[in-house]
Amino acid sequence: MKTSIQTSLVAVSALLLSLSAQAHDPKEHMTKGEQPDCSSIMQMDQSQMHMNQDQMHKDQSHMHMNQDQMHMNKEDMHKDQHQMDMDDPVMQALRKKCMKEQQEKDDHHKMDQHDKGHSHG
Amino acid sequence: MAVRLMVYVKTLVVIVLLGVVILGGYLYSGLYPIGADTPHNKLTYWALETLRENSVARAAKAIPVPVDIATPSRLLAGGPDYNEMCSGCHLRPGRAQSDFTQGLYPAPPNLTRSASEGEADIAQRRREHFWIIKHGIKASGMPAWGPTHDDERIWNMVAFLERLPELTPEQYQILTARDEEDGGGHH
Repeated sequence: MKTSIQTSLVAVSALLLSLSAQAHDPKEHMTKGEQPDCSSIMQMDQSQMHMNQDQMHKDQSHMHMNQDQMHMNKEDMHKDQHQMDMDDPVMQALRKKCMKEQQEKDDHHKMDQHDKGHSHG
Repeated sequence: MAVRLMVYVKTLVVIVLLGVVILGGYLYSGLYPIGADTPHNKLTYWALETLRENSVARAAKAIPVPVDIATPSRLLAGGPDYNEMCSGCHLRPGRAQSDFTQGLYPAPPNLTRSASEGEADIAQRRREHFWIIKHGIKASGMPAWGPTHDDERIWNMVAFLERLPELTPEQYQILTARDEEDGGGHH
């Protein structure tokens, strides 16, 4: 009797130990559920656009370029900016995360409106 | 000639035995200041650092690095894990110190600063980061995450570490925020 109790205790302890050593799910790390703050990225994008526009105006006034050259430079700038964003994994990751966040917000908003519609109807 | 050699060997044996006794006596005396707030002397620090650097370099040398290590999905998967498991000791953009960086000895490296190695060392640095995260380092405060995190999740953290020095606090916040659908696995 005593031996069987001891065996059971050892078996239960071993089971608990092996469970605690197993790889755990990333969700177990979720303690705060923090949302990504994408407003700064939006502002950064906008300010970058303004900087590019300012630079364009400076170029226009100081360098006396003709219309065709300006048009070509504008296209190059947009191309450079586009390439930089698309090629850089950090920028891609930021955009992916923020687009997902925006999508979730839109979905919640639609669901809220849908619920309100039902409650009023 | 043989007598002379015998005397020489005996003297050597006595010196070695005496050294062992003195070292043993010192170890058992408790005289060495083991507190984390008292730095090692230069010789001990050099010996431990050399031991650590060479041991990690040798152990990590043959680890194959995934070809897709620099993908956005790895950054997104590694960010939240870094924030929750590493940033307390290894800091985040915008933070210069924490309780851990001030209290641990040796002080954990600030991983928000760029490494000084050249381009040729990138692959080896990745391997060493992976090995250190997976196996930890004895008596340094660095735990082994391998028993509870699979290799893919550790490579995701390696990918994130590589770009960490370039991130602004705002970018860091976005990449490390974990929502309910985020997982540690690589897709």
